[in-house]
Amino acid sequence: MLEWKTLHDIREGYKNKIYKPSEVVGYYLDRIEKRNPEINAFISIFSERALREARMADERIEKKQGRVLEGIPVALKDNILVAGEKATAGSNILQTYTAAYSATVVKKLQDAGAIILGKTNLDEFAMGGSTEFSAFGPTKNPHDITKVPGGSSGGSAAAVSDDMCAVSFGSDTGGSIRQPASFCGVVGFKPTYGRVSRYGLIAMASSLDQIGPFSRSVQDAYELFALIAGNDPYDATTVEAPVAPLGEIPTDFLKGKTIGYATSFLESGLDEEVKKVFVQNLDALKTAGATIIEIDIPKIQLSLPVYYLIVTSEVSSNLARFDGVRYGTRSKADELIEQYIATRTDGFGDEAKRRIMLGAFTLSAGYRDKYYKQALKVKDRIRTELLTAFASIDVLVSPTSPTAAFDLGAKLEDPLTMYLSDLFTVPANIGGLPAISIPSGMVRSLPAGFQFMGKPMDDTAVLQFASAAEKIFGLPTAPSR
Amino acid sequence: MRFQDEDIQKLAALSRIKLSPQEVAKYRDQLTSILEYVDQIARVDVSNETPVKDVQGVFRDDIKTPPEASKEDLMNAAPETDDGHVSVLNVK
Repeated sequence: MLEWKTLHDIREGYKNKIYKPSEVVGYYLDRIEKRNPEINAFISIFSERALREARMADERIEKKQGRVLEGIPVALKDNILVAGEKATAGSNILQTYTAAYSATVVKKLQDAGAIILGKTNLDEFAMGGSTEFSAFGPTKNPHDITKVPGGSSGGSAAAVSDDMCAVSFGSDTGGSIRQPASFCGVVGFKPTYGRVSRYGLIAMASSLDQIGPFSRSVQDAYELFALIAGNDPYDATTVEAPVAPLGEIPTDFLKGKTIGYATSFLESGLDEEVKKVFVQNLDALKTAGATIIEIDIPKIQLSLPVYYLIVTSEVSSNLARFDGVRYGTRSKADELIEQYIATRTDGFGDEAKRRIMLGAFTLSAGYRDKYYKQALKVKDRIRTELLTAFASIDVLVSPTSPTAAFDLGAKLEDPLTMYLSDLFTVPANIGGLPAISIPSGMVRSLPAGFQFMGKPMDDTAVLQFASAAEKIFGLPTAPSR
Repeated sequence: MRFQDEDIQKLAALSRIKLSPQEVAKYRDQLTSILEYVDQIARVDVSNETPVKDVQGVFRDDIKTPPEASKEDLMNAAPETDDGHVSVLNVK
């Protein structure tokens, strides 16, 4: 009775007294117990706490005192802090770390009555595209457990896909919400940079990181986004701007709208089957009344190299704080500098070390101008081109990822190939744009995703397009196996 | 440019990470190939680039806000403490 519900369904069920929060939380905890050993979506599970909160939610609903997300179970990527609970960021170095405070997003969710089921697996410090760089083992794709779920928010995507929760949250620095959403066949939304507070999100690349929801419908994604958005004095990059209502999406919504896609995107590195699904999707949108145009955004191809220069630079700086002094694990040594070295050598995994060292290089004297500062300038150039493109189109679209989910282990030894998996998602981070991935078809029995990108702060428009498209492509479905 | 073993050792030292000889060789090749890929941005002429204008500084009023976490909670996060202080080894 509780299989594959949306947030909306669950709330209707509460309202109509078909079931209550303790039953829904119980259902998901059972699912997690049964399925997590195979999928490995969760790093920690808050069984007792969730059940206790669920019983309180039962009462509140009974007394008609339910808040907007009363009794709605959610899962959080394990780089989002919940006071008093472990937060590992998927790293050995934070294996023993307990958060002393909660992220702003968490406070908003709890104030709205949401119940946290647990914390989900991720690539170490959200660095990776497959969730294989987690110190807690890889997460498996619920559609095929020999495949990766994508990453870095692979645990949050797989948890929704495998029905261990209806909605979850991740963070997206270069595609870490959208790419796993695409691989796992669910909805994943990255808001405009500055819409959602990063306070209490363990920083990877601060100028690009953004928290966003996973769900089974665009409506749910909108609702969660609208709840967590807003100015936060604890994050100076957040803006004060109301989120426009989603409204009813009329059946002729796409009529008269212009949808653009970058010509260069379809030229290289795109799986033929993914391309086929994408072209079918475009045809379907055209049939629904949209005008589809090819648009030239010459520098968009440079988003990925720009991204890896900015990210590695910021990572080397952000991860410098992990030295075994104020938090996390500490390795034994005889002397302080040796202790830093031992702690970091033992604590960081492969991808973290790679990025820290590359960042040390791109920020070093003699190379800083050539790489880091040049990357910032090219970033501005790409952003200008993107904003110019939006003068002639309403939304920019692409396949979410150049391929469907790949085999576990396939790209572990070849970081550059792993990075290319973010080719289509990174431009939205470079431009600070809102972007969403929705399921759009199947490629060799694996989900494919379709991405909408919009103007900065035009998050609602992106969600409206996605909502219209969702009715055409079909809603996410449970893995058939 | 191609990274040499010494370059990787220097970056590891700057990053406070110790690498085995096998890791040095692995990262040398991997970082070289990543750098070759990202190097394409060097060819972009950005001499006329003017920064995007919608970026602005944000200030808040200088008012005291209640602490988000107690001293105890923050101290509890440290691996070793001693009488209200985080304890570390001697600097030699």
